[in-house]
Amino acid sequence: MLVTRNTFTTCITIGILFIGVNHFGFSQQNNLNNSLGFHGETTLFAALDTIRSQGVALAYSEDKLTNQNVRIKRNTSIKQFLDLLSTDRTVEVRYTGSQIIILPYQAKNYTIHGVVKNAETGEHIIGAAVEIKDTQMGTITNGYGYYTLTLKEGDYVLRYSHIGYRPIESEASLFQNTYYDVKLSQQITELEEVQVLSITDNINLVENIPSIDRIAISGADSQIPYFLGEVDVIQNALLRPGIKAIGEDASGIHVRGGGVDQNLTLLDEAIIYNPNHFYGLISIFNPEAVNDVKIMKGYIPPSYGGRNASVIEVRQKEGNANKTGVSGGIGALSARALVEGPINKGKSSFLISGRQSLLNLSIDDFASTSVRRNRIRFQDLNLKLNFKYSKNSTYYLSGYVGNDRNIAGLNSTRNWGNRMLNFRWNYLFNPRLFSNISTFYSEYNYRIENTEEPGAFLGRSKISDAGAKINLTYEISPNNELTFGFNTIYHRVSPGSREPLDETATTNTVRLENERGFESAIYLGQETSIGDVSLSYGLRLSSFHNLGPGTVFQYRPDAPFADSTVTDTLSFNQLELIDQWYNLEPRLAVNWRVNDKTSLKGSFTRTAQYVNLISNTRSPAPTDIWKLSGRYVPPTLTNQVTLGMYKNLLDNTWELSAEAYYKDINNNIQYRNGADLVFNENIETELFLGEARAFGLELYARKKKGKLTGWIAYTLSRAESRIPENGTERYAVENHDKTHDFSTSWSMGLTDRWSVSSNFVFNTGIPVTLPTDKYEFEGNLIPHFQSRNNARLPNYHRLDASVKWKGRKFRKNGKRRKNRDYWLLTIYNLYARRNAYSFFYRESPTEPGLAQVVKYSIFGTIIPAITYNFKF
Amino acid sequence: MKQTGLISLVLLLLGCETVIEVDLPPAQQLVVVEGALSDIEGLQPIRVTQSNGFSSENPSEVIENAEVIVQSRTGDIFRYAYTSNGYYEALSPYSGVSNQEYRVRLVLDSVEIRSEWERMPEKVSVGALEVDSFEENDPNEPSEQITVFFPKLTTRDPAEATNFYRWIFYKNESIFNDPELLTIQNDRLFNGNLIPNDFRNFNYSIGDSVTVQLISISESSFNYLSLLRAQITTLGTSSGTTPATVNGNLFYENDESRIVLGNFSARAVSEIGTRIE
Repeated sequence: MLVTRNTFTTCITIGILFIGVNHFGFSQQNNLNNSLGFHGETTLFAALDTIRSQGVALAYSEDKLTNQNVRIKRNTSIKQFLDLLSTDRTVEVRYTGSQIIILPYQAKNYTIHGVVKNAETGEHIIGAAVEIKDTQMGTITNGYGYYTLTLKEGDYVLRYSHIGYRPIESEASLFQNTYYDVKLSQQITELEEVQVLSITDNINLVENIPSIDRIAISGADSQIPYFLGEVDVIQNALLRPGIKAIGEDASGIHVRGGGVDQNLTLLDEAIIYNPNHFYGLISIFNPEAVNDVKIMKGYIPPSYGGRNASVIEVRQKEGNANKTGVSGGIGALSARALVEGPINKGKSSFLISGRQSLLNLSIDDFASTSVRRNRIRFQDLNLKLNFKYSKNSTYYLSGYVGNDRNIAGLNSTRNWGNRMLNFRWNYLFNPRLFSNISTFYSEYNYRIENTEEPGAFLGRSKISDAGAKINLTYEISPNNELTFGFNTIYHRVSPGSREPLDETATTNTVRLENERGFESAIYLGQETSIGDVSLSYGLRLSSFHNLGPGTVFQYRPDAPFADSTVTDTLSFNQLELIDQWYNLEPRLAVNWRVNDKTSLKGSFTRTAQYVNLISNTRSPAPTDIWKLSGRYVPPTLTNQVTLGMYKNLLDNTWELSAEAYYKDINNNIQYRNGADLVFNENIETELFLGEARAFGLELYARKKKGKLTGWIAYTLSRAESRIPENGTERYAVENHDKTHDFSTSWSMGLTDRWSVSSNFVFNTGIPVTLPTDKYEFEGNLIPHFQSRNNARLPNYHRLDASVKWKGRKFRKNGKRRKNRDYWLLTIYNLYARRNAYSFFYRESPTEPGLAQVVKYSIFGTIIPAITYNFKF
Repeated sequence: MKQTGLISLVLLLLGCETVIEVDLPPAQQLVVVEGALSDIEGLQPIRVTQSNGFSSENPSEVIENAEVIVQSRTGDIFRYAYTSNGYYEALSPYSGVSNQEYRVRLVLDSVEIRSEWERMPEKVSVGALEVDSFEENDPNEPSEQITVFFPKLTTRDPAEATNFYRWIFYKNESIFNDPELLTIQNDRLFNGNLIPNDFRNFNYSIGDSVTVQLISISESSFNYLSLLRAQITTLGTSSGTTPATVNGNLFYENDESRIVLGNFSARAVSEIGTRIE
């Protein structure tokens, strides 16, 4: 029981007495203290008549009241009797200046709220279901583990559940606002499947927002086989519909035809600019430290903005608030470890996690003969602290430092990495008003040290953000929630500096002008339901202010931007406004629950992007620079429309969806042929703006329950941009376009200790530009290209498998082992398919003059790997 | 370290290249002009060829019937005659002069092709040549070490001008012609400095003769070579540029829609040599 009715009654009675003493007429008060004059069982109307007959000004309508039986104790005063009617919720008694009005009882709304936690660690559980048993009503915990439910007063049975946890039920007598934390215990084994129908089982139907992918790092997803046994968030995402990468050795992902810079990647709410290690082979997100991953690729709520294609929201674990523990793993590619524990048991905790690569390699080296001269390694460090100050107030501090180091050749060393620090405060102003206030600093930088002449130099580039967000959520009533807030980010971009390495170096110092700007937004959104239709809608007003100091080149109006057409330069002083933009970004998502098993959803999202990655290579390099919107590079604007049908079968065991989308992108940045992007102070001369569009159909079927779980995903899509070519313009498919993209991933528990997993991917080869001609220039054979992306690489397909073997849970003497561990054997590219990574063109080494098309495969063989993982 | 090296070696073996046959778009058979007017007196050959289908057995077709002249802004005309293998040579030796502008004109089947005017840059002295060396494993006998020699040159960049350079290396009269070794520089980062260049990719052995040319080229020629190098060395890699036509400075006089491949440049050459002993 959450609240006893006695407590409630006492409170109400005291309250009513207080009101009575202060606001009621003196004579009436005397009358009210009179005895009722009878006792025993009677009817309500008879009792009220009796009171009225004693001179008490009582007003009521028999038409509106129910004439129920009431029992009156001996020597009960009129006042006591009326209080009893009120506290028993028989009627509502209102004391006015001259009379007492008796009204039918109106049930009141009260809110139950709290946190759903992991019973073992005390960590908040994101996305846990809180539902009222035997009803359709309920909610899920927000991104911070909080839930709030406003209900009519009464007795309820609440059920709390989450995938991988044992659900619990709890009785709640809701006659006042109530705070209630819940602890859920994890299921011990994957085979211990608890079959309980939960609103999270059909969240794909209930949730207004279409096109969300949630990635679990634990459970069956932890053994999805990937290269060298790594568990990787991004690689897992690539098995979902609509999310693609250009190839194995490709940096970044493309969501529904968007560019790699069009994903808003957030780690604990701080922006991450390069979420890749090893040139894209794995992500920076150490699986040991990740709690929850959510990818929004269709509808983007108004609280998010700044990127055109998706929001990838990664939340770090909070740390075990109950006991100190260590977990980790070691594989061929990396070793990782995590230490977590309480600072103040049950109230605050810490987490420190690190990861170190074990291999010194670069995939690019596979194509060259100079592997011994090219080495790459990386490190990660994650930190999180949280302090629960009170039940209404929790503070979090999280940080991340990552670094890649590449030694290329004998004399060149490149370092790059992300840093992030975020302070967050979750505060409940009242049970219905939840706030999340955060400030963050994030940075991505690279450093090149070249000791070889000419020009031994030190090169640096950096983008840094300092930002603050205030997000408030107000629950108006069940299924009716208001979200509003404000955020601002101060961007500072140092596009590049190049300095002599030492006094003897001959290079000059070159410093490109820094860019600065404020990106801000205010937003208001509402989620509500009207019958079977749920709506999420809102408006985001975003702005960008590009500030000085800075220089803007002026060009001849009738000529293309070029060094030779510069007519003047405008100089701007410190903090002087150079340019500003405002964009209204409407967002709408509609969900029509056709029946218990089917939903139809549609959405519209408009987004503005004020910072872009400048890169004209096939796959972005870590040394590519970011550019803020400026005089000649206005914000990229995208409109996306989606329409989908969602259906669940066999008690939500199967989840099916079909979703179509169309998006158009304006002010899409493109590059002139042979664009020189390195240390270019008027980079607009190398760019032009164009239009792009993407459309597709995504089919998804997922089996969520039983020994065998997994999914099938298929995407039929096209992404293209308008380019000038041969004196005209046309839409050309983007480099990352894949017409057909099929992936399937399955996991099955065989016994208590053994489980297997496998995935298979098939996709159309990415576009490639085939030459029409060849010609000789200075004795070399040169391919000539007429039309961009006029062919495709051969189809790509690959099968991977893994076997997971858990260590014993019990010792030979029958005692439970304190530590848990498992081995994971993964086999990547099981049938050794030589998938094409690219074509290149060369002169035959044996027959001069004969040109060859060469298919290059990165992985031409089967790649087994073993990793060992532990926790104690 | 030993284990790490072993794993890297295993991974190295995973990548593979396969020559394949694909259906290619139809050939366009475009005119290609290749000319470099030097300040060293000579017949200043210009090659005129026609591109061939990428999969054809012949690298290109020679064009023998063009009328070729080189013009200077000052009104000089140098007439050319066909010799062989697509080459046309001036009727008498001549040389270009720095700061003069030149262009090539061809008449082919009554259609004229021209280049833009190309200014011959000032000559910049190649500077002092030294030879340095490093040790590396013998590719034939990995357990053995061999000494590899390479040229080092120290060049003074003129401060008053924006300079664009191309380096050409010869070993025993044979040019290093691998596309990967196409070496171009500009002075954006070195203007006015004494530039020490370590050319570690040009490898020599004892007894080899070393000849180095520092060629001053125009900005447009620099851009052309830069694009050409990117197109022939980066395609197929993750850092590959977008495949595209390598546009030079040649065009059809009366038809903008037609493409002429190749480039005509005017270059000032400074040369130095030594023998490794």
